[in-house]
Amino acid sequence: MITKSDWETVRQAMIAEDRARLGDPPTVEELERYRRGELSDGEAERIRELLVAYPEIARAMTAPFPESNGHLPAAESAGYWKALQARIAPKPLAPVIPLWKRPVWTAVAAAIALVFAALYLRTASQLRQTSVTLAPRVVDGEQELRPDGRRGPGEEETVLTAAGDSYVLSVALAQPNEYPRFRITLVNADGVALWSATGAPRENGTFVIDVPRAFLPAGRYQLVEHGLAGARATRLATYTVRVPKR
Amino acid sequence: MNARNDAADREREFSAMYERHFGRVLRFFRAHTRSKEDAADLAQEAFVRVHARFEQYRGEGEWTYLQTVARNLLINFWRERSAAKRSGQEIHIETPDIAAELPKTEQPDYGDEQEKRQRQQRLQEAVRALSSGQRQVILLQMDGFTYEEIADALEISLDAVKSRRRDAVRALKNRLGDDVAMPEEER
Repeated sequence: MITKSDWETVRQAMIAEDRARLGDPPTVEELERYRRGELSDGEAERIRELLVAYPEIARAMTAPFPESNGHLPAAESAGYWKALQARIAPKPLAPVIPLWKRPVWTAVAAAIALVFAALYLRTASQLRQTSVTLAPRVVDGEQELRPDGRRGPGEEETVLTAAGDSYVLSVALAQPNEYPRFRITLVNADGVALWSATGAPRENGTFVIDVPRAFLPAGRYQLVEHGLAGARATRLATYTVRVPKR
Repeated sequence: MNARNDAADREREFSAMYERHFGRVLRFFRAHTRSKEDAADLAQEAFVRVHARFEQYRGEGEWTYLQTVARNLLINFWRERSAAKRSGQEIHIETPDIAAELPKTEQPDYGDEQEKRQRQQRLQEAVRALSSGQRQVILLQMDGFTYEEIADALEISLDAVKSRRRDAVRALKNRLGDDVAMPEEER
């Protein structure tokens, strides 16, 4: 009779052999590219084998976060906060030497820096004022986004076209009837999540997002769709988009 | 003055964000590392990194960003552990001075031992004969992953996980007979 203990011995032996054959575990960058579907079939298969050989990494990649903070004793919590404060508190500044006591070239460099700083602050302030200008507007058409792999041949990404000062995107969900709620996450080309929202789909199986143009500089982005059921989030599709240079 | 107020607002918001999420992040690390100290270090590091880019992600994106940072820290934590283990020196039990220090054990039953080794060898050959997709599903399930977690890790559908598992069990039974404790089917 082959027992559970036999299984465990065999699993351990196979993992050890696979680690020796495949080498180091995948990097965060490789995993992000794998998640975004950017790897070739061969590369993706290698990542799958590595995830099986390094199950802790597979778990770190997929495990859901707890829904609540749970109970943390007040003293313990205060200790962690204090330790964190010690790490993020600003470092004491070096003693200030008056400008007139410094060598001439230092004073000139400081003066130039002051001029540029003033210019930068003025520009930043103007940009802030522009971005908070809000006014009613007519939405003249949504741009439909279809999941990667379901667009026409040769359409690797959808080029976004702005409607006024926004991109109005109608995301055609991959499995709109399978889940009560969905999460859409916008990630940049470095794999950093910029924004995320959850909600129920509209009757026609879409999810509409109004993205201010100023939010997306030119570049490549991806929307990632997850289906939500209870505490579980299942990744269903990606939508690769590109914002053209203005 | 305004800059000072902004900085104070920012720190207040960061503190509120810490209150909202620190427990969850700590629990996440505690569930996936083997020591409370490692978990606390990783949780603290996650918040240090978020603090550095808090201006960019505060508000709606903060929890998503925090999760990404925490997940990446955990992946790197396990990568470093695995690399350390791989580069560590292997000590063989046959090394005379170490073997001499081992406590004496009861005399094993060599018949049982040999039978066990043969059984495990047959199982290993049978698992090796599975297709790569079937083997991946079976090995992850043996490690305690649920079907949904397997689907998520391998980037395949839930149906594909179930069908690969079914085919794998059938192939193993064909090769080894019914006398095998198979990984249980999820309800």
